Amino acid sequence: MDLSQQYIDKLFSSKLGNHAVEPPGHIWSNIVRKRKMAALRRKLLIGLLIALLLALMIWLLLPTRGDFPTIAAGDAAPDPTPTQTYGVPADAEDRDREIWSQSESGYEDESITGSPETTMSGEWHSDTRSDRMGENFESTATTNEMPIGSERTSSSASETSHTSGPDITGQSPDGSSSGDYFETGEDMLPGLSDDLALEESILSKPVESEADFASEGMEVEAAFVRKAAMELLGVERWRETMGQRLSEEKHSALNFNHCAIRNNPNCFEPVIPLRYFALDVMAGPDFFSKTLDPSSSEFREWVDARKETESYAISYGATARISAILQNGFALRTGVSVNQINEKFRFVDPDEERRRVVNVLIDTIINAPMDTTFVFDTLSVIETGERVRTVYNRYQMIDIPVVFGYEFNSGNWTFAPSAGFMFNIAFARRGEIISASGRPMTFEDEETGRNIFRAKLGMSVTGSFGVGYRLDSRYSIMVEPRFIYRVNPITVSEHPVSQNYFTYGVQAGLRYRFR
Amino acid sequence: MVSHNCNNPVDLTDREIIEGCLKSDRECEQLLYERFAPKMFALCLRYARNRMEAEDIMQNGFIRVYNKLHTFKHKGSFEGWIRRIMVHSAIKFLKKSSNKNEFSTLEDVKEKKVESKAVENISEAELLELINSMPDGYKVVFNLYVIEGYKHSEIADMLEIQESTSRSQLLKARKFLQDALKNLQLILI
Repeated sequence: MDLSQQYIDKLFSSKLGNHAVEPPGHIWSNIVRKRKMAALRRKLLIGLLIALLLALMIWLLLPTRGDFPTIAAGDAAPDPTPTQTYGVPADAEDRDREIWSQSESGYEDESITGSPETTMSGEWHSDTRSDRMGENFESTATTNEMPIGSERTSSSASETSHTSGPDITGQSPDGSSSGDYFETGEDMLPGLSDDLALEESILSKPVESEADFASEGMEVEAAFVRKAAMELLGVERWRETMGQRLSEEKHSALNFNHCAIRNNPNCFEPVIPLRYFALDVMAGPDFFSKTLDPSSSEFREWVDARKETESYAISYGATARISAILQNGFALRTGVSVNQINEKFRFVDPDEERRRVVNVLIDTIINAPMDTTFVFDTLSVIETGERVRTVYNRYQMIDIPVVFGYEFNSGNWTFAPSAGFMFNIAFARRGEIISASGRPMTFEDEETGRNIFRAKLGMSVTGSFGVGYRLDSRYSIMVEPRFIYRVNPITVSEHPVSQNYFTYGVQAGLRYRFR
Repeated sequence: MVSHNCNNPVDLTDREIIEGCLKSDRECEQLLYERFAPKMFALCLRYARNRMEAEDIMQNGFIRVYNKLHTFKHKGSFEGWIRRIMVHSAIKFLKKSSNKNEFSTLEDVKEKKVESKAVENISEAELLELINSMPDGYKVVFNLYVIEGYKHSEIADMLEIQESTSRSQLLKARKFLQDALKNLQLILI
């Protein structure tokens, strides 16, 4: 027959058209594994998108610094020690007072511009307005409440002092027109005069709402911030702290920096996005949901036997991590997580044979009265009975978590949802399972002798929701329910039964907050 | 509604298996694989350069089958539908892994007539080896035209080549196999 083109086509198509070759067994398990990973990736992506959307919504709904309460002209002056602290810790006021009281002039050795060369002498010069203020001061000089000016007056005759400010409604003590409650003399502290003039012109307007200032830009915003500071600190304290650094807590709480207060274009202070670092140490019990997947139906009986012989034993996890909490509330956490999954392997062998050697008296020889010889022999006896073998399997994992979260406070309470990944760096395991032939086996494969578990577990997905209660400025107690999902099975791909865990539990511990 | 009792695999039709797979029944998914895997693996062996590549092509192909199962409209053979997916998976894999363009321009090919009787006794495994001994370009076009039954226009679209290139590659493949069979015949005789 000619090897023509048609013949060749017919030869190959007839013989190979329906040709079949049995594929290797591991292809199906690989297909199952890849599909599971793809499904998990889709779920993770959706979860991350939802988390991002939630975070964005929370961010948008959080109160901004424009939400400070406003005071319209004609309203009564606020209490100098306002009850609404905008989240400032209770000891912040005391710390500010301490800072002030430690300085002779009432000011730290720090210029408005931040340059160490320029210091404030505390010298004040009077003008017509300060005279009026002086009158007001003298009437209150006998009180123990310390407007800063009283000390300076005693130290230098040339000094006059600033007194407690006028009514915040804008009425100066002598009842002059609203807005005239800041001194604008030429000899004011460097840089202040322009600021005050601006502030006066802006704040002379009735403060109806934040919207009044919406179109005025940054300068107005700075004035608004200063006004908010005044409401927070009281006018007396505001005057005392001008040129003085606010306590760190107030900066955090009010979420602005010195330069916004001073409105001095020469003042530069970068906004630090980091709020604080914290060390979290926690531990707690864990539970798990175990999956055993056979690669084909012929191993189903083996899986059933394993499920009958393996059961939960108390497991636990411990975490030590560093959290970086940003000003906007977002958090980044990393550290070390140690987890141990414990299982009880109980195997009952109903036909266990035990060999026992016994002494048997086979003869008694009486040689004489009181002289008897007993003849013994040993006999090996095989006893058949039920043997129960109990082994505690241990799976110890050390992972590095990289977790993103968000923290928001309500009084002394902190709420912290988090999600992220864990990267396994060590996996130790020991114990026994039932083999395919129905006998106990160690974790080495009967045929190949290789360990049926992986040496490293790769990546896991973790999530948690922490609740903390602040004990003091440094310490908080934390309780955190969490879960861990191992992306890859802990068994090697060649093993016909794929084993994996979904771990969940609650950890409790302490947080130490660094300054 | 057609029930899908995957506990009796022999009785299940393709439609029942598909319905079970669409409901994420693991038994039905495995049954689908077991029913069609041998033929698909043979198909992958024809396209791949070696057995490992054939395994990768088959894994990717079946994953695509499960992902696109909902698009099968029950028009035509289900096996033919799976074959088309597997062929596309093979071509995609080869494109990804090929280092050079093996397609060339049209040349004159003279046909030789060679006597042979023993060729008919060649086994499928030997024919498979002959196919795998060809360059990738010849092999793919030969498989698509002769065994899968695609037209040159369809092959040109799939491989993003000219139709004339497809024809020339087929001629070269046949010439290659003709020579190989002649040599084999000499050995057999």
